[in-house]
Amino acid sequence: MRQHSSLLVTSLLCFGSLATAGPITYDVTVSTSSISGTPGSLDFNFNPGPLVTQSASLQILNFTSNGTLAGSPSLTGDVAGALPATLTFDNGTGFNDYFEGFTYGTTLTFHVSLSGPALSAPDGVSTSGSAFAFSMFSDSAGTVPALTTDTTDGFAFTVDVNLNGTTTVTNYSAQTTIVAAGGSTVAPEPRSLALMPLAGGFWLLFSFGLRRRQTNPYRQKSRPPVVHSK
Amino acid sequence: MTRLLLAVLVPSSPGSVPPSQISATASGLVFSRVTKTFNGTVTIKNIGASALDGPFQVVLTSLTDGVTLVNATNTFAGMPYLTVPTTTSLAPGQSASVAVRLSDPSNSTINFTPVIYSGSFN
Repeated sequence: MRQHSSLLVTSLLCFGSLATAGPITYDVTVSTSSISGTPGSLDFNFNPGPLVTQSASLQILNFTSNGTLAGSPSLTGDVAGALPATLTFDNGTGFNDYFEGFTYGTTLTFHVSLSGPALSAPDGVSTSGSAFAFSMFSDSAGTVPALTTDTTDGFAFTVDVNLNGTTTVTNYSAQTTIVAAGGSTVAPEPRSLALMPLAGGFWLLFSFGLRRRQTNPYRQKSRPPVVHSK
Repeated sequence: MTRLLLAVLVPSSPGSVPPSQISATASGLVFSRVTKTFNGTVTIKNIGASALDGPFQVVLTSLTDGVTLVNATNTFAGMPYLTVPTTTSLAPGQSASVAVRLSDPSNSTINFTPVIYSGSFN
C-alpha cells in the first residue's frame, strides 16, 4: 500500500526532464513556517550509480534562510564547503554527503547547479546516471523526516542525471518549490514525446488540456528548446 | 537428448537473455538517512528485433562485498535478484524498471553487474 501511495505522489509531483547544453540550475524555495523553531537537520547527497557512470558535479549555491545552522557539518566523500557558503560535490566516490544541524525559520532557499560531461556531453556508453537528494529532518540525528510525503526514505526532492544528459526532478514536498533557473530549457522527456502519437489524438488533446490547468512552475516557463550538439 | 527432454518438461525454466537482446542501465543511488539504504532503479530494455517473454529477473552478480540488496526477491545461485514487476513481455524498444535498495554499512562504492533472466526461478 505504501509503495502504491509513493508511486501516486511521485507521479503527481514528478516534474519531468530538463535538457540543456550548459549547467542546469534549479531555484529551490522551502516554506518551513510550519516547523519554525524546530531543531532539526538538513542532508544533501550526490552519488553515482552502480554501473559505469560519467563524471558530473553539483553545487549548492546562495543558501539563505532565517533559520540557524547548528553545530559542525558532517562531510563524507567528494564534497567541499560549508553552508551558507557554496557546497561542491562530484560523483567520483560512491557516497558524497553533507549533513548539518539546522533550526528552522520560516523559509529556506538555495540553488542547485549541475554540470560536467554527463550533462554537457553524454558519452553514449555509460550505463549509470547520478542522483542528488535533499532531505529535511525534525531531529538532529536525521532520522525523522519533515515536510515530505516520503516518510519511508525522507527525501524532499531528488534530481536524476539521466544517461542522455537530461535531468529529472521528483518533488515529494508540498512545501518545496523547484524552478528551473537561468534560462535553461524545460522540455518533456524525448521518450514521452515519442509515445504521444501512439496514444492517439484523443489523449493528445486531453494531455494538452491538462497541461494548461497545471500550476507546475516548470510548465509556466516557455522557452525555446536547446538541442544537444555532439 | 536428456537436456532437450528437460527443456520440454520444464518450459518455464529461466535462461539468461543475451546482452545483444537486452540492455541494463541504472540510475544514480541516493542515500536515505532514515532507512540507511542507497536507492535507485535498474532499467532493462529490449534492444533486439523480436519480443522477449517475461517475467524478467535481474540478478546482481559481482555485488560489492559487504553490500546487501535489501529488497531482493530471493537469491539465485547465491546471488540476489529482483523480479521486474508487472512485466510479462518486452516488445522491441520497450523498457521496464525495478527499484533497488542497497545496504552498504561501510559506504563503499557500490558496483554490480546485472544479468537478466527471462522466466521464473520458482
